Formats: sequence, C-alpha cells, structure tokens
Amino acid sequence: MSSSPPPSSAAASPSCPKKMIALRSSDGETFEIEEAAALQSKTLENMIDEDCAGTPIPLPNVTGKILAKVVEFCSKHAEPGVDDESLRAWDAEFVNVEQATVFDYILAANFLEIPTLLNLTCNVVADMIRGKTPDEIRKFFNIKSIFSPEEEEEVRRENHWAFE
Amino acid sequence: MELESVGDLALNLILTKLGPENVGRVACVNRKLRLSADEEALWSRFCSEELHLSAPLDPRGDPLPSFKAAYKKWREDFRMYPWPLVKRVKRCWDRLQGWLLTNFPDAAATLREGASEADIQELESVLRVKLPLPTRILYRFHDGQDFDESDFTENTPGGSLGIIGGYSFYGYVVNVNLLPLSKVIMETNHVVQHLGFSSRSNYIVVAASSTSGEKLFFLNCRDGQLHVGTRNLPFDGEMMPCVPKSLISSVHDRNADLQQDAMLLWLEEHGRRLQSGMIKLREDGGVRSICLFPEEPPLCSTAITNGVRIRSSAVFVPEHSDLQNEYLFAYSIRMSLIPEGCMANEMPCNFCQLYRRHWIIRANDAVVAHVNGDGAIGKSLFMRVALI
Repeated sequence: MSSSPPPSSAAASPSCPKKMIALRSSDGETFEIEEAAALQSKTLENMIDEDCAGTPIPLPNVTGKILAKVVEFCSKHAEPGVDDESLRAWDAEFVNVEQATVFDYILAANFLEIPTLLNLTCNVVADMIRGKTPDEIRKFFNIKSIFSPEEEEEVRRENHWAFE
Repeated sequence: MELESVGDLALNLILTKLGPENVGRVACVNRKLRLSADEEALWSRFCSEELHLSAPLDPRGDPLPSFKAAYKKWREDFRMYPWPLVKRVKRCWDRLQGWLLTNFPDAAATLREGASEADIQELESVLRVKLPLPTRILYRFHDGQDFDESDFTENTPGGSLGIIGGYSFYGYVVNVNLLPLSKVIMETNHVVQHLGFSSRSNYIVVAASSTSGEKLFFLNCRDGQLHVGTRNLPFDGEMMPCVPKSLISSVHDRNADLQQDAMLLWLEEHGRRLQSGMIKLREDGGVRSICLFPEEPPLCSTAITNGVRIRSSAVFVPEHSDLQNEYLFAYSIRMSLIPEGCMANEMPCNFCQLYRRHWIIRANDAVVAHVNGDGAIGKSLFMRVALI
C-alpha cells in the first residue's frame, strides 16, 4: 500500500479534521487525497456528493503511476496561499515529462474531469504542434499516415492557405 | 500511446488553442486528425473570432456550405496581404457599415462592393502609383460610394449621403463621400492637369465633397499620408495633413509587424466618433446627413442656465483656411429647454424665445471676436418643451 505524502498546508478550518478520500488505481494501489483536493475533479466531486466516498473509489482507467501524480497535482492546486507565479512554475515542472506521460495525464484529466489539468496538458501538446509542418508533426509524434495519394492531394489543396 | 488516442474532447481543446493555420496543417497529418481538424464547431469559432461571422459567408456575402469552406475562401481571396491587416480592415468597415445600417441606411446602400485585384492594378497602372497596403485592402472590401439620380434632389443638389459627412453654414454646404476607383482615376487626372502637379506625382484624390468642388482629400501613395486641400489649393497646390505623421508606418512592407496608413487611421477614427456619438446625424430642412460638429464633451460644451441648455462646438474648415495666414473655424450653437422647463421671474415656464445673442469667442483664452445681434441672423428662435 502506498499513499501520497500529506500536504503540508493547513486546512481551511483547523478545528475540523481533514477529510481524506481513498482512491484505488487500475493496478490495485490505494491513494489518499484530501477532500478539498479531490474537489478539483468533477467526477470525484459528484461521487463525494452522492456519499459514495466511504470505501476506496475504484478508478479503472488510471494506473497507480499516473494516479499518484494526479493526486499530487490536485493537492498542490488546493493549497491556499500559493501565488500565481509559483503555481505556474510548479505546473511547468509538472508537465516537463515524456510525451507519453503527458498523454496519460490528458486521459486521466478527461476521465476525472479536472479542467485545470486538462487545460495545462492540452497547452503543452498544442505547443508541441505549433509551427510544425505536417511531416514534422508526424515525426514528432511518431504518427503513421495512411492517406492515399488522392486523399493527400485533396487535403493539401483544401488547406494550402495554411502554408503560406 | 498516440496523439489521436487522447480523445475527441482533448483533441478539440488542443486544436482550439492552436488557431486556424496550425489546424489546417494538422488536417494534413492523417485521416483521424483530419476528421478532428475539419470539425465545423472549430471553424465556426475561428470564423466568429477572426471575422465576426455568425454564418458561413464568403467575402461578397454569399453563403458557403460550411464554416471551414468560408474560412478557406477568405484566406484565399486575401492571400496577398498580411492576414492581421485584413482582419483589422474588416473590423474598421464592420464598425462603419454597422453604424450606417442602424442609423443611416440610405448611406449604407451607397457603399459599393469591393474592388478586385485587377481593378486596383488597373488604377495603379493608369495613375502610375502603388497604393499603400491598408488602402488596397480598404478598397477590396468596398470600392467607394455609388450615387444615383434620386440621391440628388432639389434640397440636396450635391447629395447628403457622404459617409464622411460635413457641415453647412451661411448656405455653404459640405458633404464628403468616398470615391470609387473609377472616379479616383478621373478626379486625379483632372486635378493633376489643372493644378499642374507633375505627372509623376504620388497623389491621388480619394474623397471629395459632392456639393462643392472645394473640398478634396488626397492620398500620398508613397508615404501613406492623407491631405486636404486648403483655399490655396487651386493656386499653389497647398494642402494639409489629416493624420499625425508619427502614426503612419510600413505602408508598403508586407513583412512588417504593423502596417497603417492615413486612410485606415482616418476611417477607424471616423468610425469610433460615429459609434461613440461624438458626431451624429443631423436633420436640416428634412434632409439628413452626417454632421461633423462634435456633440459630446470635451469637443462640445454644454451649459444650462435657468433651464435653457446651450450646446456649442466648432469645426475646422481647411478648404477655407490658409496655412500662412488664417485658420477658419465654423461654430454651431444649439439651444433647447430642459424637460423640466425654464424659470422666468421664478415662475416655471415651458416656452422661451431667443431675443438677442452676444458671443464672446476666445482662442487660447484670448478674446478674438464678439458677435452681437438679434435672435439668430434675423430669426428669433422659439423653443418649446416637448409635451410627452
């Protein structure tokens, strides 16, 4: 069993104990996340509202490796008193990872409905694409193209203005 | 783990962030991405954001089957110009045309369709000039104004539908309209001959008052400045600039970051003044026209005394001015009663008659003239509070 390190910041109301939510990844790992951080995810928010948050919530679409990071992201974004600039810098470090991992984050953010994480990761991918030619995009993302020669010609004609 | 597998929602978000050019390139990557890149929702958004189109229309206003097709048509039709400049010119015309359609539809109806590249090239070859980039694009959207017989009536011998508008005083009427390229050629040739400009002159006539031949606007095609002729124009070609020179830049450089010439700046400012109500339509003897006497502070002053509101503003008259000796201004004074009526001998009253007037005219705090007289040039103005 592994769990994420508890956040170091104080909860909004110090008199109440921090409510922890338990999450279980697709590969059986369990993680604990503060309720405030869990609310970053609309999916989790709905489950908490419906009082399903008693037992570990199973997340069959997210592996332990990714879920750990998502918990870290949500906890950081739920921390009070972090200024915009530091948060942006932290975010930049957070997505400074392999392409495949960024895609995994996108899938998790999509599934768990975490708008901040989705926006951040989609920005990263957009930055990877921006300014590249179609060939460069294929190389960068290791994409195979299966346009027939006629399709290739047609799509180029349709979009030739984008190359001027 | 592949790009396409991030899911449609995420792909759509990524493409939205990328903007039209990059999305066009993504469409060329493979079939799946082409499908995502061709989504109408994306192109509807791009058409709305960049061109303020809420329907898929081409530059002539004709409908096309999709927003993607519409965006493509716009980019193709204007591919010879920097796209940000095209968007800016469109915004300028949208604002002017929008105001006209709402407030002065008769004038809006006189705006011609855009000129073609061939029309522009013909003018350039006949007049031996090279139009500044912003002006070319302005003409691509609308080739000046067209009038027909019915626009010239007994009351408006010179027409009143000029979109630049004008002023009138003591029977002198000015109403400025934008010339179509065909008239630009005619007027420029005519003026150049009569004024003896050298045939290699860079000036073309772009706007003129239809009511009197006295007010002419010239565009200098080399440096992009706009000039208006003074009263010495017929004698020594004297004219004065209309736009601060420091604002004009890179009028012939397609690769510069920012191109703006005097014609664009002038029309943008005019659109702003119309939209803000700084200048408005006025009616005179049943005829409506755009009047250049300012109507809002700071260029229009208002004072209310005993329930009588007086508003005054002035307009510069360059075509009667002389750069060496004197600048002529015309003033407009308007009087009305406030809705509550006026006070006379501490009794409320809902009518009031102008009996005498005394103007003290100052320039920079020095008194330059007094004007004393009855009523208003022989007429006594009678003001009545409107009874609702």
